[in-house]
Amino acid sequence: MHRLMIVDDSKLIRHKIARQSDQKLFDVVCSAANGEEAVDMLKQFNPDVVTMDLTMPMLDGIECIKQLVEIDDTVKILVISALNDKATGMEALEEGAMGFITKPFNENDLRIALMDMVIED
Amino acid sequence: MNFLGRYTSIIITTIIFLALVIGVLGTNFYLSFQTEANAEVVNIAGRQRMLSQRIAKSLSNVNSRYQNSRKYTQQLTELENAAHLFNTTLLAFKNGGVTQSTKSGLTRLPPVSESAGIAAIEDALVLWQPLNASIGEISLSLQETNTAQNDELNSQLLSTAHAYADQNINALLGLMNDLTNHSESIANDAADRSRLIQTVGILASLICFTVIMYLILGQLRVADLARQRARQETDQIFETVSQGLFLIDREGAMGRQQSKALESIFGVKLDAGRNFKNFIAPLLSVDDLTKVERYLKLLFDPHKKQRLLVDLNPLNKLPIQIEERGLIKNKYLNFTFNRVSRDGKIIGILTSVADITNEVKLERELAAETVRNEQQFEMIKVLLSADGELLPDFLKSSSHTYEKINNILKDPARTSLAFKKKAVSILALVHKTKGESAAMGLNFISSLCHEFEDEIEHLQNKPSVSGDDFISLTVMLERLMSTNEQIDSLFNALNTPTIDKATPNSESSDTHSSLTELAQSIAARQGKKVYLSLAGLENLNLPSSTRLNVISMASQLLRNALSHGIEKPATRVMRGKNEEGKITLALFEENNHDYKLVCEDDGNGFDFDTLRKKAFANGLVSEKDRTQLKPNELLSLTINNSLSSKPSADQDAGRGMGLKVINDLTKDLGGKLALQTKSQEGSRFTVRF
Repeated sequence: MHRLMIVDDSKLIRHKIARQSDQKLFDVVCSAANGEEAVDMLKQFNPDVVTMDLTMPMLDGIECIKQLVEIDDTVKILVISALNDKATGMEALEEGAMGFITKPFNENDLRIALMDMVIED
Repeated sequence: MNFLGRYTSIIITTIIFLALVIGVLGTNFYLSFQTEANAEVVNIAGRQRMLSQRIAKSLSNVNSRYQNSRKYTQQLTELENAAHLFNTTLLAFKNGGVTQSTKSGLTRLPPVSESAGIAAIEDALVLWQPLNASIGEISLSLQETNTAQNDELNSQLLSTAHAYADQNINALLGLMNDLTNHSESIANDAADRSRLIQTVGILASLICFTVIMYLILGQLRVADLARQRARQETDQIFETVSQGLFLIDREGAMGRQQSKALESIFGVKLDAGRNFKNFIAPLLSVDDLTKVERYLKLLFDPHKKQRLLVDLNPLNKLPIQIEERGLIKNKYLNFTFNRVSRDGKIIGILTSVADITNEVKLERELAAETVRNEQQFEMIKVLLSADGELLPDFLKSSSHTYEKINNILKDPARTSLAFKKKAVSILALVHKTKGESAAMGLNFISSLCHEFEDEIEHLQNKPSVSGDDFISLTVMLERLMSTNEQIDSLFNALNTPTIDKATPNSESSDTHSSLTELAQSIAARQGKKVYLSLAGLENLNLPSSTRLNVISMASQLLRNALSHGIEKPATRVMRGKNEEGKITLALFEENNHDYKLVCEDDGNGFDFDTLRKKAFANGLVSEKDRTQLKPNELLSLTINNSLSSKPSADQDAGRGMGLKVINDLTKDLGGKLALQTKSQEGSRFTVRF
C-alpha cells in the first residue's frame, strides 16, 4: 500500500483524485491546497507518492517540488497540471518530479499514471 | 546451458586436441630420454670394442717390458683397469647392472634381452673369462718378490696369456663389434618407433585441429547467416515502414540505421552520426529547440517514467515547411520517442516520425465543419425565434457597416499613423456590429466581431503598421460578409409566413429574453450577479430601422452597465450593497414620438480618477490639466478618444468603444445623451430621441 498525498488548490480536483485513485494500491494520507501546506504535510505524513498541481497560491508547484525533494529525495512526484506551457512541465521534471499528465484527465489516465509511478521499470 | 549446447562439439574436439598435443609432447619427452639411454648403451658397447684391443695391447706391452726387464708398472695398471672395466661392463650387459658411464660417473645398463645380443655376450664370456683369470693371476704374481723361480712363472704366465690374447682377441673384438651393432640396431629401432609415434600424434592433432576449424567455421557461418537474415529483415522493415525510424544516442547523434520513409518525410537524406539537435534546429524556434534538448535529457534520465513524459513531447504535431520538387509544402509531423535499454541502462532513443498532415487537415476540417454546423444551427434557431422584421434590418445595417469598413480599408494610406487612424475608425464600426448582433442574439457574429477587434488591437499595439498588416483585417471582414450571406440565404429559405406573421408580443418578449440572456451571459463571464429590470421595450411603435438602433443602444448600455458599473459580489458586500446588482433598462414615450431610453445601475459610478490617469497616459492631457479636468470634459474625452477604465479588454468591454458607439447611435437617432453618476453609488444614462 502506497501513501499518497494530493496537492491541488481545487477542492474538486483533490476529491476527484482521491476518489479515482486505486484504493487497493493507494492510501490517501493527506491533501494539501497549496505548496506550503504540502511541505508541512510531507514532514507530518511521510507520503511516498505525491500528485502535484503547478499553479497554486502561496508556493507554486515548481518551488514546492524543490522543497519536497530537499526534504525527501525518494518521494515520487506526479505532476497533474492544466498548463499548456510544456517548458514549465519540463522544469517540474528537472526539479525532481517523475512524471507528468495534463488536466483534464479521466479515471483511467490517473490510474495508469499512478500505477506507472510505483512500478519499477 | 543453451550456449554450451551450441558449442559442445567444438569443446569436446578441443579437449581431444589438447590431450593429443600433451600426449605427443609427453611421448616426445620420454623418448628423448630413451634415445639418450640407447646412445649411451651403443657408446658403452663401442667402448668394450676399444677395451678388448687395449687389453691385448697392454698385455703385449707388459710382456715385452717384463721380458726385457724394463719397468712395466704403468702398463700393468692400464691392463688391470681395462680388464676390470671390460669385465664389469660385460657382466652388466649380461645381467643388468652398474658400470662406468662414457661421460662421467656411473650408469645402469639393462640386461640384453634379444637373442643375438645374448649369444654375443655368452660367446664373449667363454673367450674372456680364461683371459680375465690369466690377467688376475699375472697381476697377483707380478706383485710377489722377484725370485728366479718366480720370474720363470711370471714369464710363462705372461707368454701364455699373450699367446691366448693373440689367438682370441680378434674373435672377442668381433663379438664386441656384434654387441655394438646389436645395440645400435636396437637404438635405431627405438628412434624409428619414436618418429612413428610422433608422426601419428602430429597427424592426429592436425586432424583434430582441422575438425575444430571446420566446426568453428560452421558455427560462424550459421551465425553469419542468421545475422545476414536479421539484417535483411531489418532492411526490409526499414525500406517499407511508412514512419521515419532512427536511433538517437546519448550524445544526441543519429544512428546509421534509418528507415527509407525519413527521406520522403524530410525531403533530404539524413546523415548518420549527425546531431539530432542540429538536424531539427532549422525547423524550430530557439525556444522550442531548447525544449527538445531538455526533453531528450529527461528521456535519458532513468528516474523519469517514459510513459509519463508523453504529454510534454515538444515535437507533437510539429508544423514544418519542406521543399519538394521546387515547391514549398506545409506538413505536420509527429515525433514519438521510445527508450532503448540494454542491461537496465538506457542506451538510446528510438525515434519515429510520422507525417500526420492528412490527419491534422481532417481534424481541422472536422472542427471547422462542427463550427459551421453549430453556426448554422444557431442561425436557424435565431432565425426561427428572432424578430422576423428586425433581422433583414440587421442584415442591411451590418452590410452597410461592412461596406463602410471595406471603403476605409481601400482608402489609401502611407504613414504608420494614417494606418493606425484607419484601424481606429474600423474598430468603432466593428464594435457597433458586435453590439447589434449581441442584441439580436446572434452570438456567432458577435464573437467574430470580437476576434476582429482583437486583430485591430494587435495592429494598434504594433510599433509601426503597414498595408500588409491590414490583410488579416480584410480576411476578417470577408468572414463577416460571408456570414451575412449565409444568414441571408437561410433567412430566405426559411422565410415562411410563420416568421412574417410573428406576433408583436412574441417579438417584444424575444427582445426582452435576448437582453436578459445577454445580461446573464456577461454576468457569468465576469463572475457577477445581476437583476435586470426591463420595461417599455415591447410594443414599440417605431420604424424597424429605428427599432434596431434602439435595441442596439439598449444592449450597448446594458453591456456598459454590467462591465463598468456593477461590481463583483465581494466588492458589493464590502460596500454594504446587495450581492446582486440591479440594472434597469426602460423606454418611455414622453410625448408623441418623443422617446426616452434610460439605463440605470447601482454600481461603481464613473471612476474619474482612473479615466484621468488613462487620459494622461495616452497623452491626451498634460500632467497639470489632468488634475483640473471636469467630469463632463473627461466624459467627452472618453467618448471621443476611446478611453476605457478597464485595464484590459475582454469580450464584453475594455476597448473604450462602448460610449463612442452609444454616442454615435444617439447621433444616428438624432437624439441627446445625458449622464448622471455618483462614485460607488451608480450611473444613469438617458437618451432622448
